[in-house]
Amino acid sequence: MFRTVSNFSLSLKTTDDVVVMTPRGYVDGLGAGQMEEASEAVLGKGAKKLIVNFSDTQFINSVGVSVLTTVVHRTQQSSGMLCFTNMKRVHREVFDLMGLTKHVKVFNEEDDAILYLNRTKKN
Amino acid sequence: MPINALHEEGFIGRRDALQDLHRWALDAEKGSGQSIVLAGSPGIGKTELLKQFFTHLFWKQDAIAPFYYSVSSAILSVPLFARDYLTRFLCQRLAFENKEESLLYLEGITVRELAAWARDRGAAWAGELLDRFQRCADDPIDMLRVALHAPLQSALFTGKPVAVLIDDFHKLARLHHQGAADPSLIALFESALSAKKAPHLITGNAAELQALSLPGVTWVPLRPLIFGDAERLFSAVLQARGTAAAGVPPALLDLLGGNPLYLRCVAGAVKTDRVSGEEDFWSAYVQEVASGGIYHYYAAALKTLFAEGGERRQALEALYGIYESEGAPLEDRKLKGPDAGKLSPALARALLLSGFVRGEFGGYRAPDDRVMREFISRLYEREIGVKPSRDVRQQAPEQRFSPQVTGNVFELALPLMPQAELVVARSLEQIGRNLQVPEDVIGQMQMAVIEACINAIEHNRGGERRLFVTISAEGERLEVSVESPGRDFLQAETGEPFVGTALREGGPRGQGVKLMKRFTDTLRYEKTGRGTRVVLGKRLTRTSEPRKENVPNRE
Amino acid sequence: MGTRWDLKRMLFNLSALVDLGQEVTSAKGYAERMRTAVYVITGMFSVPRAALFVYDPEQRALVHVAGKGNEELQDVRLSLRSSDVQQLPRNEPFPIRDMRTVPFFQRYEDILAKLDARVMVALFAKDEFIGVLTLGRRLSRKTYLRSEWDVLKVAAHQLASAVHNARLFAQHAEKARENKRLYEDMRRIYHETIEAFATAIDAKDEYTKNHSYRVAHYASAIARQMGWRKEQVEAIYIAGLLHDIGKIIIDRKVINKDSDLTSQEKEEIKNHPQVSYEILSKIRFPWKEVVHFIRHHHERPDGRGYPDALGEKDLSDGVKILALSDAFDAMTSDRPYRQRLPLAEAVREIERCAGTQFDHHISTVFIKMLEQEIKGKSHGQPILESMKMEIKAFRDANGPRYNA
Repeated sequence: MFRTVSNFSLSLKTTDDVVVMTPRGYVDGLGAGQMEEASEAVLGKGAKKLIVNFSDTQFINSVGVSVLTTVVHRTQQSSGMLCFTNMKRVHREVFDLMGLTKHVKVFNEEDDAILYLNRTKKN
Repeated sequence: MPINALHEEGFIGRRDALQDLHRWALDAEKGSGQSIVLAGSPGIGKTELLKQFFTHLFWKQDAIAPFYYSVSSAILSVPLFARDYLTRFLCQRLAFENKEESLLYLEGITVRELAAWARDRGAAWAGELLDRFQRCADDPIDMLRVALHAPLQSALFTGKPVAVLIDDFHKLARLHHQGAADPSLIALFESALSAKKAPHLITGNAAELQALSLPGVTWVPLRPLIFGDAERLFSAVLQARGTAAAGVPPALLDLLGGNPLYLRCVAGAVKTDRVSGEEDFWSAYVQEVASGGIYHYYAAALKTLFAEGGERRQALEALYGIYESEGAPLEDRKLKGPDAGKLSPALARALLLSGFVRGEFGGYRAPDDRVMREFISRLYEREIGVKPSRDVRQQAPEQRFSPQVTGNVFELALPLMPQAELVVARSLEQIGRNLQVPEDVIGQMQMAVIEACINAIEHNRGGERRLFVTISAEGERLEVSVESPGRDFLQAETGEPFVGTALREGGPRGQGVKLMKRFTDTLRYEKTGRGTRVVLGKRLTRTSEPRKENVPNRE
Repeated sequence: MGTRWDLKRMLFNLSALVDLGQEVTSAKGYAERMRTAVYVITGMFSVPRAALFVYDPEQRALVHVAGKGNEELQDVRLSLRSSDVQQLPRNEPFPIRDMRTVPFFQRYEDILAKLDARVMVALFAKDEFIGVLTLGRRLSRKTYLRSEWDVLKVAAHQLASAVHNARLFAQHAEKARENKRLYEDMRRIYHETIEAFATAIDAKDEYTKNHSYRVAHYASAIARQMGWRKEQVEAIYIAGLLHDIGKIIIDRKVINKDSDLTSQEKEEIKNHPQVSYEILSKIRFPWKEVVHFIRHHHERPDGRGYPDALGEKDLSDGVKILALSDAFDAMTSDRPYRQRLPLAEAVREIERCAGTQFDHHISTVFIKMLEQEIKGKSHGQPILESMKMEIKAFRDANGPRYNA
């Protein structure tokens, strides 16, 4: 569905029942749509615990925000929990600005998020 | 002054912010410091951050001298302020040399004493400054200038830059001089703010600071704690209290929005006597927002802005209107909230400065802070009395904690007006008869209830206007509860009303409690979601007698 | 904190508008551009679901072009009357709720609900209705502020212009493609018609089957060799095909007569260029010289040709080429009144007549071409396909001159 843009890639890993997505590079083109597809796929298979790790992400613009909005929305619809980790200051700013941070749980490190998700039952 | 900073381990999160501040200090060391404003919503932890930073700078390094000053509303006349500012600075600066803690706590030292003392320690430059200050004694503006430039002067003399940390800076708009407030005095700060060897880090009420339009300073936002840190903070407070509580609901953490003030208040209010379930956390929240720490924080802010009567009501209605429209379907084309034109300019300004609303390009917006909004909604409900159409989620805690009433229960909600207690008494009589309560029991209960009502009216000066009374007769008991949303005059440990000034002075109200106790079999005070409730109980058997002689009828 | 925050958000939205501008005018494909545009706009307001419909005036329907979060509704088509269009505010967002009484919205209430369409902007470019953008509920559930509404208006304008331009461009491109197709069709029709004619001509005369083809072939080969442009070569090819069209008129008996032709009959044959001319002059050729060639292909440089007895200087090269080609084929084909000349003879005849019946230069060119072919060195289309046997014989007969 989306053409891969050369400066973006997405890696996905699952530990127990926690799915971690690590976008790499520039989240500013339709290549970022991979994140939408990936989240849809894992949520469709019943995943309820998602993490997006931004340690390797550089620039995020409105397209990126749009993609992440979809991820947030889909997770909410599936009654899942979504965490953002390892955000750089600029990411935090943009997400706060666009009102995304309210809907996710932000942690400093991926491990913190995993620990939290593993010990929390969804309310 | 800065001694009441939290212990380092109790200070959670803010990793990024502290890093930023350290970098800022490094710049200052190199002589290229820049003044910044640390901005953030109320309770976000600006003051605490400043204190932590001061503590770090003071104890853990030598390259840059920190100065912490928190502007006090009591010290705003120019000469007083100037003297306070200067002396505190010099004390802290001199204390820094040898890390002398005692100097930090030095209060009430005179200028002359300090000058002598400084010279003893070989800080002639400080002595010079103080002398110059004294020579300006008849020109307050000069005094102010000397004081404000003292940090820079010290940096130039000693070669060590100074980090000037000023909290509640916005209060300086009220600096007054010869009896009149003069906001332009702030302009005197401008050159101090631009000193590269003595950069300032200032904080305070963001809206008011914006109104001051300080040139050349950078604004640094202090964000709410991220979820992970918020949870850690909450757990840390619980742990420090030694509770077995765990498992704070994520929804509650979301609601508290990473605001350290909220987190500490609520965590501090969770019952500690047992392992807490979800309900206990919510109960703590409701308590704090309705009558606890959070309530007082905002009630005080509101009070300084809107004294009484009409203005307060108008403000509440305006706020409420803005908040409610936020929840309206977003498809609505019209701009929501009261038009700027409908509010008086002064009121509009005050609203914006309060932080309870945000200004947005010609309109108003509710803040994202749901707790703040909850506070206003409850206040509105109590004072103006219209049931809000609130989000179901926010109704839930309230509903969860309203008392389960079964059997014959009568409920009254009364406005707090003179002689309302008589209405209660009459109702009690009528209801008592309906419930077939013996006459004398009714009579005694009436005494107690009247007293309770008067107490309630007396103790709530917060402006709330309603009383909630329930009367029930079940089995062998008649029970009347009087609830008033009001100031927390309950002392948790004793379960007794706060032995406040009235009682201590042996005044009339002190007798009231005795009276209530005399005419009832059981008397207890409870904190509720809405405020404080006194519950009076009497047995319904004939053998119940007043324990002492009758007190003359208050009527 | 308030105003600063909103300033920052405005800045973010403005930079998003710049992104939008760049995106919609980028060199990427139309579908990708539209999709990215939707993403940029939804990113400004944190909207998870959106759909962009472009109006197809022929079908009078809105066609789904790009979207987000609405994949299952991709092939949706919403028919829209012009009366509906008039009711829509132009490039101005409006809540769909407000349009409950408008027929279009009533008709498609279900689909709009499925799209989670809460806010719609009708896109107009220069008074032309372009399409609509629908936006779903924002993640924050917040109302739009006036400043945000304004940004949305600007984005709508940009999007409308972009779609409009893309359409214009596409239309032009389509037109250009169509023109090209038409042109090629026409060409093909021409050729087919002409070939049909040629067949008709040749059919009239048993002995000259494919004669027109061969003449056309020789003539165009010579023309090519002489460096003529492609269109000119084509013209002479056509002329070759049609040069004997006049023969259609001439009675079959006369043409195939065994014995000598009477003078009347000769006259009649002489007329055929004239007749050709008259027939063909009624037809419009893209190559205006064709008719001219045909009329004069029996002329001779020495002025003793027919029908107009033009001298050398009046004859164009094309005419001369055609004349030579025609004569050459006559020589090397069987006729009712004589047998064909052997190739060597034909070549000698041409040499002999160079300057009188045939143009000197052209003859030389032609002979050279023949020589090349015989030697096996020619690099174009072979001229003497039909005469392979002859070529061999020719070589053998003429020895070293024609051998490598």
